[in-house]
Amino acid sequence: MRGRLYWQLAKCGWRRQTTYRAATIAGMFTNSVFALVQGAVLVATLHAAGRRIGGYDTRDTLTYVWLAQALIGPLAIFGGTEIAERVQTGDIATDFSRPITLQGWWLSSDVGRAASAFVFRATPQFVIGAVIFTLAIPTSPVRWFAFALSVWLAVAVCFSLHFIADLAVFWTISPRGAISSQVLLMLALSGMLLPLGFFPTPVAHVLRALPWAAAVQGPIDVFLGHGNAGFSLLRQALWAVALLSAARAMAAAAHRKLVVQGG
Amino acid sequence: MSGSDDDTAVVMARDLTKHFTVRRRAGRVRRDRVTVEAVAGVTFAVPRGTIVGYVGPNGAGKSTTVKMLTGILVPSGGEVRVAGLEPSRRRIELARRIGVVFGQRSQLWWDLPLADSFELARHLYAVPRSRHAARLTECVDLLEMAPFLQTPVRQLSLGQRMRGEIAIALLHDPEVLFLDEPTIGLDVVSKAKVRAFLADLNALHGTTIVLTTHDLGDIERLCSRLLIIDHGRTIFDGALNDLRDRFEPNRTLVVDLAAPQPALRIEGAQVVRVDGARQWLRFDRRTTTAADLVARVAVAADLVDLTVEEPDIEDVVARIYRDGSAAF
Ligand SMILES: Nc1ncnc2c1ncn2[C@@H]1O[C@H](COP(=O)(O)OP(=O)(O)OP(=O)(O)O)[C@@H](O)[C@H]1O
Ligand SMILES: [Mg+2]
Repeated sequence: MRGRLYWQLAKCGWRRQTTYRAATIAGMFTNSVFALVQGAVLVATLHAAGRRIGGYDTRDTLTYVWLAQALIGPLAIFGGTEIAERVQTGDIATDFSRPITLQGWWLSSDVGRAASAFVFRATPQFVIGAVIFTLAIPTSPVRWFAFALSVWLAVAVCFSLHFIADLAVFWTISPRGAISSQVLLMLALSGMLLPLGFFPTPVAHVLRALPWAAAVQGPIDVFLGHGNAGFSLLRQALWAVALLSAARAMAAAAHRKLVVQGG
Repeated sequence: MSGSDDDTAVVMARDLTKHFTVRRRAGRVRRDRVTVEAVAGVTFAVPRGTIVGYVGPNGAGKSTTVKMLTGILVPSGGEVRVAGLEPSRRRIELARRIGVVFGQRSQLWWDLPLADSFELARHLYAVPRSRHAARLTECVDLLEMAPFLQTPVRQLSLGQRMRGEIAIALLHDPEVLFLDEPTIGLDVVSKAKVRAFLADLNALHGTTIVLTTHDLGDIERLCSRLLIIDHGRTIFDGALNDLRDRFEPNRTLVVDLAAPQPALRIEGAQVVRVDGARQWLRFDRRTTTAADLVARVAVAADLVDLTVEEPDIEDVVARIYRDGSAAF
């Protein structure tokens, strides 16, 4: 019974995302331009360093760039202020009047949103890159399956990180601190701007163990066949479970101390 | 939980309080913590099947009370029971059994057709398909929503959207419906439609309704009982007519005479206005009946027509808001 509800919510999230067509196209354009610039910079760096850094050759690097840019949509890397806004305006009251947990509602619809963004934004975005450059595309169905799984785990991790930052508004009133810190950490530590393999090895080790890596570097590693995919998926799954539980506890605490703004 | 209380009172609040701590600027940088008593000890019980109006001036604590009754806010003190449950502890369980409409907020999916939100509600409240369909048809008919069911919510007019908000709160046939300003911003036709719908709902399904509003027309049309709250305290709890009798015992008899005359001199009444052949006589209904007065006027002059004016409820309530509990 509940499963049907989550499925319906995901469908609503999907449909809602498909109504933002102009934003999707604008986003793809921006990401493509960024990918061209980032690709040029990283390939230049790579060549200066002797054509190989931390397991990345030119083809892997370009694949990384286009894949990372493609994942921005489904993972909503810059998103995640909707709940904070709802807390600030007091619309969160309506969320608390439904017979479902805050997390159940928002996670389900976010999964639908991510699926839609994956199909209509990420895929064409990556295809543009693959048309312009020679990219490393997996041939094994197992690898594709592992990649799909990895993206879903990344969606759960990303959702939780956003959700936690958003819920901080309950304690801080102004959302800016928590949300912008979270976006900053995400950009710096997830492998979104620079592959973690490009960092000095000890630093890369630490970064890979953090939750942000599970959001972006995880699926990219699986796609490129870097490292042990099973281990990478396991690490992502552990982060997903830990963060979802933390977010759930935080939502419950938020309700206990809830101050709904406005009349 | 199954005490005899619950058989009659489906909504109960006892010494209910809610205070908010807010920071206020108290100088250049210094901030003081100030406690706002939004609800300062409210007690009432709503019997099953009644429609109660919950009114009070802006900032009186109405919305805060509704949020505590629906489990959205945790009370600072006192006791609340709705359908036998403690709302904030059993929020999700309670949400299945009640409906909530906040007139200034939306439960609907902004970017999607109205029908999508209704379909989701079926799953959210686990309503069997056939029962949902029957209920939806009823709501769509009564609230005349058929023409815009497939329109994205963001393109609806306020009145259309509000009908959608009320419908979605009702599709699971709740025992109690909480409405926080459901007619805000609606035109007279939409208001009438919503009021008629709520009256039918109460009559046919026996749904208990707790309604906050600034539109006393809602109260006059719908509510057998009125609660007035001010500064977080209940200052009146009773029927609308009791309110009139208590605060404005004076009535006005308007008489049309056959010809213009100087002000009549009638025992038990006082002429407050003369306009041509028409005169206005004020009397205290506690000491004089309208019938006696009419008889006396008929003796003194040639009476053509007459009406008795009730005091305007708006005036009565305005006076109560102004004078606060001192009015009692
Ligand atoms: N989140 C909050 N933080 C601080 N004070 C609040 C908060 N919410 C409400 N208040 C205060 O509590 C009091 C009651 O507010 P409430 O919204 O319940 O009033 P209301 O009766 O619904 O008024 P209105 O008719 O204007 O809707 C007001 O003084 C308000 O300023
Ligand atoms: Mg209010």
